[in-house]
Amino acid sequence: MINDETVEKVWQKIKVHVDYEHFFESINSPDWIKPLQKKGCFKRPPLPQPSGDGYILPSWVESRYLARVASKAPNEVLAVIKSIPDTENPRVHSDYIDAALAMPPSIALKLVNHAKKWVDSDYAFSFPRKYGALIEHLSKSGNWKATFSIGESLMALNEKPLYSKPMAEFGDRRRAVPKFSDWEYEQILKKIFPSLVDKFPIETVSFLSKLLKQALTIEGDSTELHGKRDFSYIWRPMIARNEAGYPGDVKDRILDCLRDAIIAVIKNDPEQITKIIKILDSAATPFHQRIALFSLNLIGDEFKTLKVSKLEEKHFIIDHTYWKEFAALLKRNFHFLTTAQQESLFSTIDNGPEKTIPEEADERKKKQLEKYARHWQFERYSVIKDVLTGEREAYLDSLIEEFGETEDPEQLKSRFGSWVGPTSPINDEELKKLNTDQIIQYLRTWVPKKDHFSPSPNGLGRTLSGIVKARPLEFVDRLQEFQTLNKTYARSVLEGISGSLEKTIVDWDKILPFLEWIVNQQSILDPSVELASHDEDPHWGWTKQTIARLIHSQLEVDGEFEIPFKKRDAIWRVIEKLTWEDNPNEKDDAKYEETGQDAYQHSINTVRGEALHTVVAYALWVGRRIENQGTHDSFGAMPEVKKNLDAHLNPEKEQSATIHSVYGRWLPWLQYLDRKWTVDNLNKIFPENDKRLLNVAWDTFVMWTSPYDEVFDLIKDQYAKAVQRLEHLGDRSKSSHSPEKRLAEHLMAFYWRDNDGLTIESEIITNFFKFADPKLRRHAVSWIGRSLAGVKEPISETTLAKLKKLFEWRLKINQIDNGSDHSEVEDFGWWLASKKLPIEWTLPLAEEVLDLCKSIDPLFMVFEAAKDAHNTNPELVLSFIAKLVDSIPLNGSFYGWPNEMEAILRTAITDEATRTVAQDIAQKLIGMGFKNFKEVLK
Amino acid sequence: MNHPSASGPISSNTLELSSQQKRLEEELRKIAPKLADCYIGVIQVFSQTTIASRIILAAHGIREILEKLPEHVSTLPVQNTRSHKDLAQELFKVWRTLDPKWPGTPPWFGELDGSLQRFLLAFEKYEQDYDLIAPKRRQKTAAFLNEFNPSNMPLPEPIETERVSAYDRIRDYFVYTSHQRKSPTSEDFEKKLAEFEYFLMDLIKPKPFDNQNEIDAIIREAEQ
Repeated sequence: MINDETVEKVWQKIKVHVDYEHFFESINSPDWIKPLQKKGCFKRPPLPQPSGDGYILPSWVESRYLARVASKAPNEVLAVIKSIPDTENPRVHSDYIDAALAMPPSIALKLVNHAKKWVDSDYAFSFPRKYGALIEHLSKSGNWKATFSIGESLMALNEKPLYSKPMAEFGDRRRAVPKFSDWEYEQILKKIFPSLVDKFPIETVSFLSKLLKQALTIEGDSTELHGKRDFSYIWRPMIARNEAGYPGDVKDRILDCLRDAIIAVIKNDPEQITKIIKILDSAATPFHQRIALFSLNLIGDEFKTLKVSKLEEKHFIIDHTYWKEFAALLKRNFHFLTTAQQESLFSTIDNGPEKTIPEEADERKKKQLEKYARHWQFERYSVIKDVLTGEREAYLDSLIEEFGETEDPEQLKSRFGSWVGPTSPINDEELKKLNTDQIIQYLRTWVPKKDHFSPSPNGLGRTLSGIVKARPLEFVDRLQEFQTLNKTYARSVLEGISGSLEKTIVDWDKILPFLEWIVNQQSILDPSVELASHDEDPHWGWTKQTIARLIHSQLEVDGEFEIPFKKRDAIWRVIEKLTWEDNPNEKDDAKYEETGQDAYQHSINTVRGEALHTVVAYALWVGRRIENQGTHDSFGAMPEVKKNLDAHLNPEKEQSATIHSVYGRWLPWLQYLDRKWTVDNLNKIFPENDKRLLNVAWDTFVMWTSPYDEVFDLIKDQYAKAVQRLEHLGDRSKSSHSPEKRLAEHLMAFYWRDNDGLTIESEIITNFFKFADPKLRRHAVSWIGRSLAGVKEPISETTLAKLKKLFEWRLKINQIDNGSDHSEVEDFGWWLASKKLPIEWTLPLAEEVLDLCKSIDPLFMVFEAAKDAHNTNPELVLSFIAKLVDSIPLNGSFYGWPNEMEAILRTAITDEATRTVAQDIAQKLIGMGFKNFKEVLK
Repeated sequence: MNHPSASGPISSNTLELSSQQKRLEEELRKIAPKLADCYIGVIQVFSQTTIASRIILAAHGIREILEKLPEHVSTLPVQNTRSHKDLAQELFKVWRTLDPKWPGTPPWFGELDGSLQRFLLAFEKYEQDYDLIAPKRRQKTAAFLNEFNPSNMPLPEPIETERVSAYDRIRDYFVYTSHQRKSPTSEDFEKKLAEFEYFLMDLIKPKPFDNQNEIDAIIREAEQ
């Protein structure tokens, strides 16, 4: 018996919100509704709660209960829902919809006006498919107006800028997007609309047609560039299927649904075609016209009048937009045209496309336009070739001779779409079958069309590289012949050879003259090459970069495949020449600086930059082969290297910051090769009077080299200055990988290794923690923890004591500091989880971290470590976990590790010493909403 | 005999505490040792039947605990630093800009203009801010009770209202008793003391697992 008294009894037992939730989740009888209403329930649905940049959408147990009992008492639930004040909370709406879905459609219909408000609310689109289900459910009532009134709001499209910032070339173009995810939108179109077609055929077609028009209107071009055309023949070449070569967007999805709806309607009742054409015509877009032409191809001859009326519309034959669908209609229905209508059509084709040749056009342009006109006629006459006679038939024959046989326009794939990369005129298999003579002959004689989508020398070059890699020796013998071929192939053949060098002994006497010949060519731009097309190499620069890379990688090889040392002079001649190439010049540097690219990364993509890296590789190669290797005094034995490095450090000869980065990148190796030279040049590598070069060298050094003790000794003052700079740096450490973070890592590594006797009192360490922002300090402390976790070898007690001292110091500083940001110590979880430090030390400190930060990271690892420590230190672990549960914010991150928590509590509950604490923790967790922990107490 | 605060934390070892009382003392000690000391003081003084005013003294102690407890709940929102005087001055500032016009001679009956609109907006803000700096007792109590809520969802209002009333009844009882506006019998006081302890334990250490088992039993019986 459920009455007021029963509810009162329950009320006395509810102490926290989860009790309330539990009650509502446990009741299943609709008889609770009335007494609960009397108690004030069903009156205050929770509102969306602002949280950070977004909102939390609280669920409402009361609405969930209503949804559960709606099938048992639909009218009562309907009345309650209607009486509840409006809310913006979509979770509550979702429950209402569940309730409506459980009611008979005729009763659910009474909620339509409410549902329209829900679907229009700001947060409505968390549960789009549920609204889809509601539409389907309402359709069962036979009331199409109610059904589509929800549909209109649900499926309406928003607009979004196509580009993040307006592009002058294309204008401020817009993209139609659903109010929710594309995928959800597609699911609704696919799953809900077919059933609507069965019940409301014409209304569904009309609805989808309007929706498509909405999408097209949003995406309509705002510039004069495209006039009134929608260019659908590019993004959707075929109405029947999407073949544009990309996954498509919301327009494609709507079109697919509309097309399938039309097909279904016509199949069931062909007479409906008249209404369908009327609907499509009224949309008045080229795309809808294409769909109309497509639809007419689906019906029989009994509708010939309708078809003929479309065949008579001249713009369909003239405008390329409609050609595919119109050609199909024309081919099958030409015979329905009267003689006069046929003649009119012939005359339209005879007159050619409406494209006048401008007077100022040069001969080449005129010829192109004339050719275009002939091709246009060729396509159209070909469709009706069977009915052509006399002069027109002869003319078509001449066109076939010029253009070849045409494909069926209906089967034509798009000539448009995304460019996927350079293509080769010959594939791998075909090229493999040719011998070297034939390949070189092919390279010499093949002429690219210079059409954007046609095969290009670059594409052929890629195929060639693959063949050369498999058969390098054949091509090494023929390298001189590549001097007279397209430079793209010279690069490609070298790339192929480069790829083979790790397992092939080659004759460097044959390769080096070819390399020398290329490096002596000027890297001037070939005026016949369109730079932006990437179809072929515009100058020798690309090949020269390939040469620098080839030599660089091969200089690092020792053993049977190495470059013979006797080739030292020739190798140097090639490298030295490349180190004076123009690229990178001032413009190149400015371009990379604009993009914020790293100077070192830019250097390896330039000819001179890669060459300078190769100079160092050369020096190390020579160094490994001379007697005084490892003595830090090698440049005496390689004056050419010293001279070159000196020259590029001279601002009168070298202005590029990109090139300067090479000195930072290789500093540890330069000091290894010649410490005196390096010491003598430190002021040039890190020039105090040129902040740009100083920063480039320092950032590259710290980012791209490991912390070497020897280098620290050498440039301790540079480290100190970098630490000083932190004070005025601002927040550069935001990025995941910044020079400042690397600096922190270097310093922590030196501290860890006891380099130079660094302690927490050392100036460089104290200054680092003084000047670094909280994020950077956190990175430093965290890095030690992560490194502890990663180290496999045993760590000495002295080192561990030193690290402990550092953390204790940082924790104490944060505890004393009243500032709000104590995140520096928050990653202590890594220290704890590393298991390198005694748990008796880590767990109490972890509790202090929790007191200070109300958080500890990474939580899941902390839990794993706590679980492992539980057997040996149960009370310590329980105390820590109790603190954790009391401290951490109540959020979903808790869900990541319930298993460890449960395992600890289950064990702890069996031990008398820890039972009460474990029970308290479990109760608290249940109170927080983690219902699984009831099992622990059971 | 030394006052407890003069001789350091009082030991509960000499007292016969029930398990409920022991746990409450432990929990209060975690929140603030002074509160736990005060609670032990209450039990001690109430157990001294020779002291004539033991009920009044014990009621004083409970009143003290109830008054100080909210201050020790660390996550309570920071008090609004503006005083009522600050709010009033802000309002007066806007009022003064309106002064020459209102009421005026002859009295002004014009439309809502800029300066009047600004005053009305300022008044509206005053009214909202007033609630913030001077929350009603019920609101204060509800906020305090919610501090112990382990979930991030407060209790629904109908239940919260009842919980606040229950708390206020307990507090009023001890306040009135300490002010001698009530003269309860020893039995009655003991009953109320138990009610206070039960309420506080429920608040500080809720046991949803146990609560829900009891709720399940009620539902089972009702839906049979």
